[in-house]
Amino acid sequence: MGPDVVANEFATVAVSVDDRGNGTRLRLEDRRTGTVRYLDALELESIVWAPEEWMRALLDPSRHRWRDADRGPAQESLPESRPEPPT
Amino acid sequence: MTTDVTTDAGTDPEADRIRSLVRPDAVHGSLYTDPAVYARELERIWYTTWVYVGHTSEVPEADDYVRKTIGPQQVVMTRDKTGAIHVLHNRCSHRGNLVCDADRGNAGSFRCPYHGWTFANTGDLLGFPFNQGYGGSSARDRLPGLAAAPRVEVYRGFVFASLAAEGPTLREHLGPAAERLDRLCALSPAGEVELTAGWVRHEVTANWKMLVENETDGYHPQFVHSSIFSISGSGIGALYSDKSTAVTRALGGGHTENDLSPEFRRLGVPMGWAGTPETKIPDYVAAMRAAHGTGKADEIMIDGSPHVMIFPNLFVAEIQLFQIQPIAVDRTVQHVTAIQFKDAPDLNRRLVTQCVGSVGPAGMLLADDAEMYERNQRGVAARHPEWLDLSRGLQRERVDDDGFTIGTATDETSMRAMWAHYLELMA
Repeated sequence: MGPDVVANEFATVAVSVDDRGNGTRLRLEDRRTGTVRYLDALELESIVWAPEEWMRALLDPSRHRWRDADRGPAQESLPESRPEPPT
Repeated sequence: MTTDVTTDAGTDPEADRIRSLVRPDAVHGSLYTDPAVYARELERIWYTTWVYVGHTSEVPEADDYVRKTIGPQQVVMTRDKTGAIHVLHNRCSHRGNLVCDADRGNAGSFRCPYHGWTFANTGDLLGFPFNQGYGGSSARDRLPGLAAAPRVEVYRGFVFASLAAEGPTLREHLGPAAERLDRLCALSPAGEVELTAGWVRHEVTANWKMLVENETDGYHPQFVHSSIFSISGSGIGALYSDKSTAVTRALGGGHTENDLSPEFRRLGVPMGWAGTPETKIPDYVAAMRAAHGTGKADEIMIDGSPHVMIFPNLFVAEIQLFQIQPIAVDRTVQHVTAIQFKDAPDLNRRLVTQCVGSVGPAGMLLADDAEMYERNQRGVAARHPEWLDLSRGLQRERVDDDGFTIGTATDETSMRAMWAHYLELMA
């Protein structure tokens, strides 16, 4: 069974629980670029408790993917190079 | 009744001209074909008065949204994280691109596909790519977000918006028509309507007023709809005759109805109005009697659902709901759905089936009417006679016990009332 997909007209992200490490973590894949980020339990808990202003700030494109060149790399969560294990 | 616009007669030549085109018993054909009249209607009616936009049941969860319209205007109806309803213009504040393309979805924020400007579903601007071009993130505070309709109000789940900052309240606008929405909601054991059956988008090459007039025209059903009445065995057609005790009523504010309830009361059968014996919907009937007590429940189920045209664009036709959307002087879209009642699954299944037959893609009722609208639009393009007759039943019009002007089931009382209100707004 493949990952669940959370999608709307603005973004498409595959979501799965990954257990290849010593514990479980959430694997998020931006399906439009193949870019992946993992979130562990404490990061997820922090998102659950984060103030709404924090989420709004995260949605500013200039904060990450589309920031000006002198503000840091465009992409900090890199595309995965490791092959997926057989399912 | 409060009027939205004071009369411009004597000071505005166009107002005088439009007044000259509406008589107590006739209207001029150019009112359906003149682009200048249509442009004025958009400003004076569609972008001024309360217009029905959607229903709260279409955005049940936080961050749900649906694309809707106010005449030719594209809007998005959203429910934000706090549960509040917003009606936003579907236009990026940067370069005017359409921000939302999907008919419906769930999103707390919208990102314009053109340059990536990102907005909260409240309309707030959240950010834009490469903000140094605007001097940094602080530019967010001075740049506009998505424009919101100045006024949004909800009555029994029905969401209306006005693009004018000031004017009568929604409750003042609805007047006695609000009670018709109450009557509709009362048919749910939970007192709520749910518009969850999906929509048919039906476009006709006709002026929008042809549709508004037709919705409570009781003179045409026996002719235009004879085929669906005959194959469905419906008794409704016979109620639109001069032998009927049903009435056509002007509710004020341009709102009108065909009130068939006198006939349904004479019949005295719960759900007789829907042509559905209670043995076929036992769960619904039981739920209604549990909710209201048998006496009151039977009264509600006998009186039935309203047939009301709420000016300018919300038409409730017993079991189906139409949203009328003008897109040009001679083009109109009807958005149609089967009405669903909360906590009434067995009734709802039948209503969907009935609506598939009447207003579905191959439905007979809507197709019949659409043919008449389009023939009518082609007909009024002919130059003579210049006037359309509105005189039917004028001599036998009377005032009922509640002070409303009424005519018989086939009289043109409703059209005359619509045109009187039209003049208040237009001239």
